Amino acid sequence: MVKILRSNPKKGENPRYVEYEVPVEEGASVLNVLSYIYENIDSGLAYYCSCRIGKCKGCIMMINGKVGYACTTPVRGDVTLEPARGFEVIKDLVVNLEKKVEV
Amino acid sequence: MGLFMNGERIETDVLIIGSEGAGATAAIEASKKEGLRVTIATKGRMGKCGATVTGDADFDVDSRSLHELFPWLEGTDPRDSQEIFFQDIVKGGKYLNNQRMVEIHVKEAPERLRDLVDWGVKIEWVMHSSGHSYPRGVFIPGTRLVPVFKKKVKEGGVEVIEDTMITDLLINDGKVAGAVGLNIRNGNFIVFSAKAVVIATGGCQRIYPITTAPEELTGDGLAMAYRAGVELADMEFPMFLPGGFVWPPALLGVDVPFILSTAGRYGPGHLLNRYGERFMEKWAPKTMEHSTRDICSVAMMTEILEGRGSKHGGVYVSLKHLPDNLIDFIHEWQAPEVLWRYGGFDLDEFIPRDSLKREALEAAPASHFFNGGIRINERCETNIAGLFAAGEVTAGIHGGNRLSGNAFTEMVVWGTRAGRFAAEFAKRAERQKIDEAQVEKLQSNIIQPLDRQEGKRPIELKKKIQELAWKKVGVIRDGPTLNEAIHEIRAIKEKELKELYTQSKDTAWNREWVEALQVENMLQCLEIIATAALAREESRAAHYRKDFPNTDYLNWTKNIVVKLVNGKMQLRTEPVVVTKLKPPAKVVPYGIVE
Repeated sequence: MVKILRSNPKKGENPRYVEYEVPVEEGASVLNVLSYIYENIDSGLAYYCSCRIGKCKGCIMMINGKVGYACTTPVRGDVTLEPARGFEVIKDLVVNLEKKVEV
Repeated sequence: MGLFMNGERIETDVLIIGSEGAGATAAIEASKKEGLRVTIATKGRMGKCGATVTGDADFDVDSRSLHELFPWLEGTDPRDSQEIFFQDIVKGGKYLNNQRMVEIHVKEAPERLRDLVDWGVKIEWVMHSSGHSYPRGVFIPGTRLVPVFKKKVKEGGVEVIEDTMITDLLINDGKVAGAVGLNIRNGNFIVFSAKAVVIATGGCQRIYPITTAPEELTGDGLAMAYRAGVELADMEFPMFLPGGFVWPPALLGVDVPFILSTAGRYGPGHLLNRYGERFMEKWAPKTMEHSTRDICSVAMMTEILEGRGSKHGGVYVSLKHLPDNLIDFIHEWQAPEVLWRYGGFDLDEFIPRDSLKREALEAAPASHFFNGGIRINERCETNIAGLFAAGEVTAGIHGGNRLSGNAFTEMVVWGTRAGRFAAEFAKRAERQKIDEAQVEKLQSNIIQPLDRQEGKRPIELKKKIQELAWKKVGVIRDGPTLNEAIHEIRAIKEKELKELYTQSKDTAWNREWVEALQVENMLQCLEIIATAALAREESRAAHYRKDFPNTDYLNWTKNIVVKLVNGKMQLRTEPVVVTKLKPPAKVVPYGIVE
């Protein structure tokens, strides 16, 4: 089970956890899971990624409560994803890294 | 009817599209000119997008200049010269390079490396990569470059507009007037008025399903330039690396680390097909897996396309012929500082290193670089006044094939030049009027996928394009297949492209909306590549035609130039710009090293 903290501040929607049933293949990353949800369940899911190899650090987020990168973190069992803490949320898992906010 | 987009208008003097290596250095240089406003628009976030940060990577400068500039640098060889570097680039590009540009390239490379060092980029040692007569690759990972670029851009007072996809150029009476695009963050339609525009958007590697390139490289700059009537050249030469993982999913496209690598990097891995055969025997019985990248890619792809590939669509890379303790030792001596890692990956998390004693990896050729692109001259000018381009998005430096390490040199040398010439132009040019009718039309193009209530999903069309590119316009080409591909591409253009729609109608950060706009660019680039590949009836460098397996220096040492004229794609050939190194006058089998 994948649980994602989703929100859309522009529309005034408050953060809420949404659960997804994702068939996780062995050797899949958190980013693979996000792609699966985007492609097959909800194309409105917002997340940022670029290099997919752990270099650009753009896919920073909270993975099971800890700061991590979606592309290089393997998925084993249930996972909870939240936007990177301490930054203004643009939508779902996308934050404005130039704008820090009080936690 | 119809959705309405909020608008933003930004007036600047020099607009740079793309924020990384070439775009950043163009901005840094342009911002030195007094009284000019310089603006970067970038689809991602600065330092967190584009190919530069992914580079592993080396920055080529001839070894003698390196020795003179930095006598303490380890691994230089003063026997080298700019002249020999020039020759290696032209030979590596199989004589399709613009030699006038290559002369400038080798001459300015040392000065640009000195800039980087002055800006605080640390350098320590020099590597000797294949294709180079001497060690020239100054080791600088892209992750070391991007924070420096960001800092210098900020110091130069450059405005950086992130999360903004430029979709089209504004042209007025043959002169550049600005550009339009989508602010991904809030869904606004954004209009730039600029006296000069620099395109620095990189290649279109993402048309292939397996690629080392980041998300953004969907050929936006190439496609918008083409639509605006800009000439492109050498588009038949996308380059592949013969070893991107195809499994497990997290590692798709990741360059197989060099302890296992094939092709010129002397890794000890054997390449096997699904019958367990070392298929390199059929192609290069002497050099086997240590053959050049192009030969290995062609061999691997032949196995894949002819149904002898691995379970997940690649071929097998095996170490099983080696004793266990040697495999352990390889991890130590090949790369003690890297071990079983790549980029930010701890590979043990995905492929435990001990499993290499029992199991093979699965890998395939991965799209790595675009040798061709926007046709520019020595001043980075295109055929449209005020429009400049630099870096991977351009053609000329690499000809048909790029040497290792020369991408970084290209982006800094030519980014800097583009910034200088664009600034000079902007200083004396009149601002062109924005054609409001054109703006309105481009806005309605952008909004269509959001407006449409049903049709084709961008992700489906993207996958279809990628499969088509991979199977029919990839590493191996032949006339009938390319013809088929072109027909399929045109059919998609006529129908599915016009049916693109997004399921989510949210305007803020709508990934599917961005993808719909990218898909159009990808398809356009693929059509150009396929058409140019069909025209070039020979095999050379990164272009392999099964039906024309020889390199025909007699008839084909010329550049194919593609241009949109009255809504139709027009191809012509241009003689190669030769200054010092005369191309051979003979026909030789593909892959023969001169």
